[in-house]
Amino acid sequence: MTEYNGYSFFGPSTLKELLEEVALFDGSIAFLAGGTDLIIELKKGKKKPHLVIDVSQIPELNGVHEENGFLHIGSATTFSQLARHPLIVEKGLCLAQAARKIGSEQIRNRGTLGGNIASASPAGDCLPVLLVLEAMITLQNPDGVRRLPLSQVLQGSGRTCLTPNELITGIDFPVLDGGYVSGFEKLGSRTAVTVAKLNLAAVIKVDQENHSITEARIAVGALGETAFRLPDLEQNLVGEINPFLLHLFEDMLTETVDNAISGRYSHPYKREAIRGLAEDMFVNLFGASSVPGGRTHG
Amino acid sequence: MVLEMTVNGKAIKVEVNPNARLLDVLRENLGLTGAKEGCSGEGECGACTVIMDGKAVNSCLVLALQARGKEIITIEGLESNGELDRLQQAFIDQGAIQCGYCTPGMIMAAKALLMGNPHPSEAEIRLGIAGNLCRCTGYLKIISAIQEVAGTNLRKGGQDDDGV
Amino acid sequence: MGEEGQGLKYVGKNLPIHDGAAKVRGRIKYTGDLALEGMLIAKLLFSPLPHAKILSIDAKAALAIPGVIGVYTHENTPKTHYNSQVWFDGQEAMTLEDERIFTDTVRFVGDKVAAVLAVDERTAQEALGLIKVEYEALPFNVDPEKAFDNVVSIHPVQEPFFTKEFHCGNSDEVFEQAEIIVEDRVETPKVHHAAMEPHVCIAVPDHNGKITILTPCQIMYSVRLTVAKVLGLPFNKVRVIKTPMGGSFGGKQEVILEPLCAYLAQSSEKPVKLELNRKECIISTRTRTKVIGVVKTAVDGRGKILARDFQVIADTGAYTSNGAAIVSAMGKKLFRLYRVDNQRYQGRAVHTNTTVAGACRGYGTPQIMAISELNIDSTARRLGMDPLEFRVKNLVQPQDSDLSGGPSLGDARVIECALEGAKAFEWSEKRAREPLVGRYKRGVGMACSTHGNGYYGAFQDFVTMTLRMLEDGSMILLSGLHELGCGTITSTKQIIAEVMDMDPDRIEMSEGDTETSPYDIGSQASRVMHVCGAAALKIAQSVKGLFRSQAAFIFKCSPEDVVMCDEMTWSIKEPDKRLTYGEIARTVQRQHQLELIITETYRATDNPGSYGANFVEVEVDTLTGLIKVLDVVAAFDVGKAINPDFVKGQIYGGIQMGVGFALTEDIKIDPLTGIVKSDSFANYHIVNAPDMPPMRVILIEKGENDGPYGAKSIGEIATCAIAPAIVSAVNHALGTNLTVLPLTPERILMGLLPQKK
Repeated sequence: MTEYNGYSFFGPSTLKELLEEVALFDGSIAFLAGGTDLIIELKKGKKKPHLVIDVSQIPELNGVHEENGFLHIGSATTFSQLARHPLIVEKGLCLAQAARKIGSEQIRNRGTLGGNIASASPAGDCLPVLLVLEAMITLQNPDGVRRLPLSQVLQGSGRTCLTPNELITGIDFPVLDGGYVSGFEKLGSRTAVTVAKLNLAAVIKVDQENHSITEARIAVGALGETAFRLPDLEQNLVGEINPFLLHLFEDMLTETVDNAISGRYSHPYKREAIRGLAEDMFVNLFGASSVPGGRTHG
Repeated sequence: MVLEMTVNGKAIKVEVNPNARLLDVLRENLGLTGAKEGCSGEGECGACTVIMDGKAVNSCLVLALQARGKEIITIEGLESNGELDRLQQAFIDQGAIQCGYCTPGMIMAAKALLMGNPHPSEAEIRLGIAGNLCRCTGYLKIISAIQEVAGTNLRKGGQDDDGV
Repeated sequence: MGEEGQGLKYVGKNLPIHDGAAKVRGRIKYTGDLALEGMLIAKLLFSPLPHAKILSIDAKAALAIPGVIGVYTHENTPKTHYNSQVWFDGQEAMTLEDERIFTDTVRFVGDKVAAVLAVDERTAQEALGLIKVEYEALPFNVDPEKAFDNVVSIHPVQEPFFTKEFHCGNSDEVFEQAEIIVEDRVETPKVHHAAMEPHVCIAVPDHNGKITILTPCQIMYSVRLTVAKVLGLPFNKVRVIKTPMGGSFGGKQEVILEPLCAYLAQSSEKPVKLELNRKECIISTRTRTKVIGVVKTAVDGRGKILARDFQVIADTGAYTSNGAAIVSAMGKKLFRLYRVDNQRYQGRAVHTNTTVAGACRGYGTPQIMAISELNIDSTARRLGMDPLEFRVKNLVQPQDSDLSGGPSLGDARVIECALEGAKAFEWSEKRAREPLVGRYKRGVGMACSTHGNGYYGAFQDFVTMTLRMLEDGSMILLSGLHELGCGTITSTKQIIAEVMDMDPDRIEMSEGDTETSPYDIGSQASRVMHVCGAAALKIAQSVKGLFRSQAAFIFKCSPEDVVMCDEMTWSIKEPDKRLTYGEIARTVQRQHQLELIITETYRATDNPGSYGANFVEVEVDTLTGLIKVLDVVAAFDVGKAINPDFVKGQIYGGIQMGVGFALTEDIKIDPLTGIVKSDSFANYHIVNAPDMPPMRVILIEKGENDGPYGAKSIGEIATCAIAPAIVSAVNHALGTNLTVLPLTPERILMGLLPQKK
């Protein structure tokens, strides 16, 4: 094994330039966007690429636009941009809410959506959100493009399906029209700048006339290796809205925790605490009056 | 490799290692030691905060070469012609400084906040500096100093009583 | 002790900190900002094991790297034993000397194994990874209560290695007869000081065998003492210069990096910088001492405390450090807050295979107050009494004596703190409020505290200063002051300016430099404003006396007739003939060949208590266990605030530390591996801006002590009552009796489980 002599740096300004370099380069490559995870790993020697390619100054990889009923997000779009982008706020609110709750202002100004996926942290805040938005992830290498659902991209804690010379270029999901409400809730160990102990994302379609839920998508994070959807719970939420719905939601989330992390040190806490997140989510989606006694503070 | 960027209004051209962080280049190559490293380069303390293209960033989490073509403002660049920025003066006047180690990063985070939102509420200020840790002041006078510049200050020294 | 009766011009005013402009401009140079010519960089290798014998260290590969100057281990460094806490020659006899620059047996994860000295950090870091160490793992223990079994031997001593008892009256007898006895077990965590500036120092050798050490320290003479001892140098060949302090809180009070750094400089004949990163600071420097206390209180039915008993264990970690001293310090405080005729304190200190404990803001007081105050709370609960009323009935009063034999409490105004604080907080109204129903519960709590003012009554406490007036009337104070960021320099200027009647900006003050500063025992024991401030006042009065007698000679009047005002002086008999201070100084030099300079030693003459009462309102989320501190009122008896803004700054910062101590901060150690789990600011949470509560401060300023203008300490006591007040409020909100700090969300939910079932 040859000694590691550090990495060289390439800073392309177009995707074409990037792909050309990737095609030519003989050695391991790390794609650097916001750097809020990768630079720490590089410094600690946890990752030892031969080449670091900076994607933070490629205009094609940055920005949000709407096309044919889909929102397209460049992989190098920062959390700060997502947090206040009018299209996201209007048509994918839960993503804006998640972006607002990530790290500090400094972190949000650098950290990117593509980076959140590539890091594949079990607690990554945008991951349950992208699951409920049914986002497709576009991956690209010099040989071509593939478009996969997020659940196929995430393969475990810190693991994705990306091949060594492949990068995430974009994320897209169908816009949530007026019939949908969506939300993100997070539980950390303090109000701001905290890693999620639990996070929860929801997309709900409400039929106002019939006072019922016609579609529910729920996903949780920080309960195992990757964020995941809760199909049973989703099915149970569909139907007429009744006073017992919150209770059902809470109970099923507790059951989810029991199934996911029984025996772990954090299990007794999380099975209780997720009920708090459930209430927070109801308030977020349906207003303060949707929880018993209203919400006195929070 | 050669890095070209603008620092405090001046065009800079400097030879850097690929693994050098913006913080390293500011401190070691340019002698701008106002930005500090307080958390082992993890972006958790904010002491290294500088403004890059109008936004607060942790300079410990930006590779120097990522700053190519960017405009950087450091604490040393806030004053103009020997006159302190209003925020700097407010930190002195409000007693927002104790040991001073977090001060440059704190001021730069606050400056970026005010550049984007000239009249932030107290809650917005608290969130705006949430990534900047201070062990001395309990943040109260720092918040007062920012409020003074934002024009949302109640009165000097924050919201305490003046004793009996 | 005050200056002549008239209104004060500078004392009691909110002058800004003297180096504020340099700090906001980013121009002040902390030690880590310095790069000296030819300076080498040292990096440390730390033990990955909690207890192990080092069998061999292979540094060949590291030494082969170009740019590596040397690798240092226990094999090629001095074997002198020392104790990092010792600050005067002779103190070592009171404790154990069990530290060395490098050890052959590592005793905690983070113990120093080796150092690489190289031309730059990158090279040093690379070489560090190539050092191969072979260990023989030894049994280890991280649990202070298990230390008593003496199964794991960390040092060749029996555990507990130190026991201290204080008592008054006959508590055993009272407990036997008492009808109401309330007992609690309270646990407080190891805490990281979290000064934003990591530990750092630079050592510079000269051509004559002298080593100069640049270090942000609290006790430069302690650094000199230990470095001289380890390097075998005479004291005058070790020069310690106190550099700007980027926060300390006791963490830089002990001598941690300096002996090694000095040795590396001596051996390489080059300047050497040794700087730790955050993780290294957390795992390998010092922590607040973890303390476990079992406390019993006997009361009568009307709420009079009859007796108290404290059994306390202090976990000093892998090396003795201040383990003995802190056990004594904690005990003493208990005899200075409540009137208890029959009381016993037994404190015992043990070693564990964990990060070494040391001085940390309050020096045991936050821990012992948590233990005492939470039990006061549960005693009040048992009696069905309001905790404020119960306290006021039993708190000490001005001029009470210390029944354990310590110095008089002085003008102890803790009852005033409690009553004024309660009024501002609206204690009775809030306490009587109907509890909230539903998810969020609110509660209010309070706690009191005392802390000292120097070493009078325990150790020598004196300071020497030289004050001179220059030919332009400006002044220089030479002293061993250590500014820690609290405003010491500015406050001292205010005192001298008040006496001399001149602009404080016209007074220059160097900080500690062992070659040029007179002796000072350092920035410790809450002594600086009370003792050093008094010294500054005294010496200013002496210089003023000299000035007046000389001016009287010039004005041909008596010294009493000399008026001094805003750097102008005249005889009251000839008000039109005015001279500047500078003109006097120049004339005196010319005509009398005399300099207006005086050197004086001041010896502390009292050690009154500082006092405080804190009131807190919290909201607890019973579903997630998260706690919000909604409101804090902090009342402190500080005698006199020389600079009220600085005093409040100390209180706000003390509350920040105390909120962390109560709710989030804990150096968690994995019992299976001995590894510190909370080793970065990502998982060791100090309170950030969004979680800081609003704070209201009340200062009680009644003077009546030997401090300057009656000033007493605030820096340490500021953090001593807040944590038990928060825990008390949480217990009030939830109807629990939680006593293990910090109150993490996990502990809250587990505490609530019995109620939910």
